This record gives sequence, C-alpha cells and structure tokens, in this order.
Amino acid sequence: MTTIDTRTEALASTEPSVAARSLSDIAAWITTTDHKRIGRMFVGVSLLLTLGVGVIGGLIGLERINPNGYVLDSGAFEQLFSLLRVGLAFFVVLPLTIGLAMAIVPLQVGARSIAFPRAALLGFWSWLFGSGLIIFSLAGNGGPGGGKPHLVDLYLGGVVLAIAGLVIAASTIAATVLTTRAPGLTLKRVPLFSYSALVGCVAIALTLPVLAAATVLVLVDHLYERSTFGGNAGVLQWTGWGLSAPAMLVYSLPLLGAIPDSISTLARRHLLQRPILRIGVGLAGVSAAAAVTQTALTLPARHHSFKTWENFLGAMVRYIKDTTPWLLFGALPILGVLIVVGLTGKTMAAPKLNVKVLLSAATQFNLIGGALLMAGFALHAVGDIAPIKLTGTVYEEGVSILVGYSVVLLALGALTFWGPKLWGRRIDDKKALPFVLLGAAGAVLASIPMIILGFMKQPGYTAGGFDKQSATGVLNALSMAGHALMLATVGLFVLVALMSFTKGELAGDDPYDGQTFEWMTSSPPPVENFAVAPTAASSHPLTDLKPDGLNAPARTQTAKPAQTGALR
Amino acid sequence: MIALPVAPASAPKRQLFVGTALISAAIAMFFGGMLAIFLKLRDASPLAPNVTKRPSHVWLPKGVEIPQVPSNIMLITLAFACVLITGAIISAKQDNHTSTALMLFLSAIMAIATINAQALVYKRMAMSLRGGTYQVLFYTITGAFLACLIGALAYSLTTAFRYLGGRTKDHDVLISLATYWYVITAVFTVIWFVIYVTK
Repeated sequence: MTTIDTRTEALASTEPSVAARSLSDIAAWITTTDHKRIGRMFVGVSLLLTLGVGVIGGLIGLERINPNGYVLDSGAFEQLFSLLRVGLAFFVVLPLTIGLAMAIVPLQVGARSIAFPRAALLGFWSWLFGSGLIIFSLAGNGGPGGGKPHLVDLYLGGVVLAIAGLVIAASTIAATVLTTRAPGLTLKRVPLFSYSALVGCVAIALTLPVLAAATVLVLVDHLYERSTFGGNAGVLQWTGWGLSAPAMLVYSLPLLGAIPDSISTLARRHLLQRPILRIGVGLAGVSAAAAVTQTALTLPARHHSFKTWENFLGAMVRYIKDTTPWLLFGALPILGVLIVVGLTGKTMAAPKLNVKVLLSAATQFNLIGGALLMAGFALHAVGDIAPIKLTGTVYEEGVSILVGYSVVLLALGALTFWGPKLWGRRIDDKKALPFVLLGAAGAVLASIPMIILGFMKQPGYTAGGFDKQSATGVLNALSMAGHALMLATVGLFVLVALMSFTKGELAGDDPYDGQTFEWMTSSPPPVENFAVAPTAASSHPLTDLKPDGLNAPARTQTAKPAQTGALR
Repeated sequence: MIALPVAPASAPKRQLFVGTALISAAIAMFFGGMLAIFLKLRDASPLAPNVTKRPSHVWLPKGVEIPQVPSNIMLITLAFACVLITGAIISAKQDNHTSTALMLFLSAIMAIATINAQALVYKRMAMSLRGGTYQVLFYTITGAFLACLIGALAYSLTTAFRYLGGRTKDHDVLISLATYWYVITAVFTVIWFVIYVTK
C-alpha cells in the first residue's frame, strides 16, 4: 500500500477547473500591475462608455427636433445634457488619452514597467468607481439640477473620486517619462507621443485638482447649507468649466504626439524638425493649460479709434491690451497644434508622398483626427471673440463634441497603429478604412451643425426656446445623425478590433520597420516589457540597431508569450 | 522562439521624489482653487472689508472669533517640522542613524501637534458647519488641510520605520518626504494668511 496515488485520473483531477482558471484570470486582471493591461482596461471601458455618450447625444438631438415638447420626461433633459458633458470629458477624452499613454509610453521610453504601478491601478479603479457613481446618480435623477439631493451628493462625490483617479494615473505617466527612461534616452530624444503624454499629463495633474477643489466645496455646501453655491442649480455653474473648452483641449493633449509618431513610422521616415515639434506640443500644452486659469477670456468689443494722432497711441495701447490675452491663451495653442500637424504632413510628403501610407487606416485616423482637433482649438478661440456673441448658445457644446470625437478618432488610429504591439495581431487595413470615413462623417455631422446653430443663436443647455420647424430643425437632425454615425463607428470598430486582435493575422515584432523602443520587444511584450535593457544613442534608437537603417529587417528581441499570462 | 533572460532592473532616477513632487503640485493647485473661491466669495460679499470699509471680522459669522494663538502655533510647528526634516536629511547623509530616526519621529509628533492645534481652533470657535458661506468655506478648506496633515503624519512614520528597518541608504525617500512637508507648509502659510490673518 502506498500513500501516493499514481492513477492518471487522480493527476487530472488536480488540474484547476475551467471556472477556477477563469476566476484566476479575472483576479489577475483586477489586481494587475502591468501597465499594458491597466491601459487597455482604461481604453476598453472608455470605448464602451463612448457608445453610451453617442446614444445620449442622439437622444438630445431627438429632443431638439421633436416639435411636440419632450420625447422623454421633461426633467430628464438636464440629466441627459449633464451626462453628455461629463461623459465627453470623463468617460471619453480623459480615459482614452490616459489609457493609451499608460499602455504605450513605458514601452516607448524603454522602461520595464510604469512608475508606481500600484498607484496606476488605483487610479484606474478610482476613476471607474467614480464614473459608476456619476452614471448611477444621473440615472436616478441626481447630478446638476437633479431632483434627489442625496443623488446630487453622490454625483459630486463620484466626480471627485474620478478626478482623484485620473490625477494619480496622469502622475504615474509623467513620472515614467521623467524617471524610467532607458540609458541614453534624454528628454530631447524621447518619442513625440511620450513627450506629449508628459506635457499633457502634467497639465492634467495641475488643472483637474482645481476642478476637484470647486467640486468639494459645492459638495460640502450641498450637504450642509445649499445657499452659497446655488444648490442643485449651481453645480454646473461652478464646475462646468472643467467639462468644456479650453479644459477639454488640455485633456486631449497627451494624444497630440501620437500623430507625428505613428505617421513617421508608417512612412518609414525620421521626423523632420523634432525640436520645433516639441516646441509645438509645448506651446499647445502650456497656453491651453494657462487658458483654463482665465475666468473671462474674451476678445473685447471695445471700439478703437485711430482717427487722430492724439488718441492713436492710447488706442494702440488699449488694442494691444485687449488682444494680447486672447492671442496668448486662445490663438497660441492653435499655432502649437498647427506646427505638429503641419510638420507631420511635411515629414510624410518629403521627398515623395507615399500614397499607400497616406491611404492606410492609421494615417487617415490620425490626419483627420488631428485636423478636427486643430479645428476644435480654432473654433474655441473664435468663440472667445465677444462681438460674435456666442456665449450661452449651443456653440460651446459643438466645440466640446468636436474635440471629444476628434480624440476618439485619434484613439482609434492609435489602436490601429499600436494594436499589433499590444495584442500581437493586426487589424486589416481594408476592414479599418471604412471606419475612418464613417467616424469622420460622424464627428463632423455631430459638431458642425451645433456650431452653425450657435451662430444662429440657438440657446444652449435646453431643448426648447427656438423654432424647430425651420433650418434649425434640419441642423439638429444632422447632429443627431452624426452621433448615430459615431456610435456605429465605435461599436463596429470595437467588434472588428476584438476579432482582429484575437484571430487576425500575426503582426510580427516590428511590422512597420519601427524606429523606437516599443518595436524592439516581442509582440505582445512580456510583463517586464524588455528581455534585454535597451539603450539609446539617438532619437530613433531601433533604427540605429538595424544594419541598413530604415527600410531594413528588424533585429528584435523575442520573448515567450507565456510570460504575459492568460486572457490577453 | 527562444526566450531571452529577463533584463536586470535599471535604477529609476529619483522616482519617488518626482512622484511626490507631482502629487504635491496637484495638492497645491487644489488648495489654490479653494482659496481662489474663498477670496472671490469674500470680495463678492456685502460684508467684505474692501467694499464696506468695515474691519475684516464682519465677514465672520456673528459671535465667532478666530483664535490667533493656536493658528500661529500651527504655522510655527509646521516650520519647525520642515527644519527637522531638513536635519534628518543632513544626518542621513552623515550616516548618523540615531539622529535621523529621532528627527523623523519628531516630525511625526509635529504633525500630531498641528492636528491638535487645529482641533483646538475648531473647539474654541464653536461654529456650526450649517449657517452660511463662511462656515462652509472655513471647514472645507481647513478640513482638507487636516487630511493633508494626516498624510504627512503617515508619510513621516512610514519613512521612520523604513529607516529603522535598515533602509538607511535610501536618501530619495527622505528628500521626497521633505518635498511634501515643504509644500504643505507653504500651502498652510497661504491658508494662515488668507483665513486666519486677513480672514
């Protein structure tokens, strides 16, 4: 008799069951400190929430075209509108930009992990829990103008929690770029996406706490006093600035550098004028973040009389005094984005335009997303010109939608471009290209009619107060159609991406003949990112490792996919 | 494919210091935002000193007086804590372990003393949170700062125990702790001037 059971059935029974393995995998995802997984969780949840934002945008459009009062309950419009504003900022733009930066930036700078990985995970769960509270409270008649006071409190608490999570997550990304760069990779040599992630995340970490401060004060007032900040009605008055431009422009900044990085890699060319590109990103970042501090930044309508010499100098001084703040905080960010998009286009076109690269899905997503983002910056500056009198109209809503959806397009471009690295498989260009057209049409249709309606003085924050039968009705219907197109774009793209990243063509470690560290490691990378610690001698360290520079087969590392764990 | 061995971890460059500096900057912006709203509402108040030319205490609720002594002691205590933390860094660089650990524990005691002084301010003021704009602003701003002080206390104690546990060469932790203390002391200096001095 032996105490050791040698029967094979007994051995098999010690294997964990499918349910136990699934639970173990789920637990591994919930508690992961792998930046790639945390980043993908941010992006995945955000894309699902983007679908919800599209539905809400459509419902708001439906309310605005319905000639017979309200389709839904009349009190629900304010909640829907709040959900659209909060959703664009906290469910779409911020988590998409932060999630992509979290997944890609440590790979780009040659780090083995993100700085403070547990803090990054805390940031994700804090944001997710806060977002859940926001949705729950708004659905239950809470939020700005809500009828149930305890749910208004819950909404404000959710906003604070989500902000805390996003600030922590943004800080980990900034700390990664500042402290975990590979030897030789100076800040001047850092890839543009990592550089813009640094600028954007620092700007986010400095602007969101101010929004948190206002929200905490409104929350305490609402809990105990309800007089100082206007109770339910005052919530948006005190915190609404954080949900529209220029704050939205700050939230979009981390993705700005993805445009030059991805297009130059696809075109197999080194970026032209890298120092000027960095200046462009810095200009957009610093001046947009500074613009958030301006409470009433408008180009005044004051009349400047230059007719006589006596008052010429005085008028000139007043003119400069009036226009300088607007130029610094409104126009300068446009110049920054223009530099980034312009030099990227020049890199792609010189010496000869590669049509195949131009027509690839990642390039198209980036070029169209970048152009729309630039339009968002420009239209925000136009909205600050006082004589046009756009304050209080749907114009501001249109600009926010334009910025939000342009970030969605940029994020889809980033997923198409970096997806092969994160999942090891690529999305077929033919499958992804239709979504570029669909998404561009959706973003333009959802926002531009609102901007035109702003010029036609359609009031914002309401579904009434304007003639629904005339051209305004048509434009509101177009905006609703735009939201529906965006909804279809994101929904179908997510389906195609899921299929491609699980069953699609294997991408290989360096599918684009890349120039930066992320293409040096295996696809998907191991948990520790790099099998061998990389070093850099230039701003394109991987090219330096290739015998013939660009257009040469990659000499990449390989690592066991098993190291990365299950449920990829 | 043959897996290559995992690369050795490269030493991060002052990671904790940079992380602490970023979070400290976020905390400074948080209080900057709160104090900006305090000043905005104070200026908009019909009882604001600059509007009515009345002495500043009319902005306060009737019968409420801010005790000056405990608030001044809070400022002095925080400044002293900064001196202690700086001393801890110098001692650590000189490998004087006893002195470093002592100064770290003393900085934690300074945090407790500041929390105690804040509690005394609350007790002496005996002001209800309900009842007006000033009450909401005062309790929210000072309460949020109290949370930061508790954070400083936890940070000091953790660093002290790490040091006693043998991590005596990890000067980056001490410098990070000092950064946090310097920033919250600077924040309190502004709070002290705006809320306790000019009211």
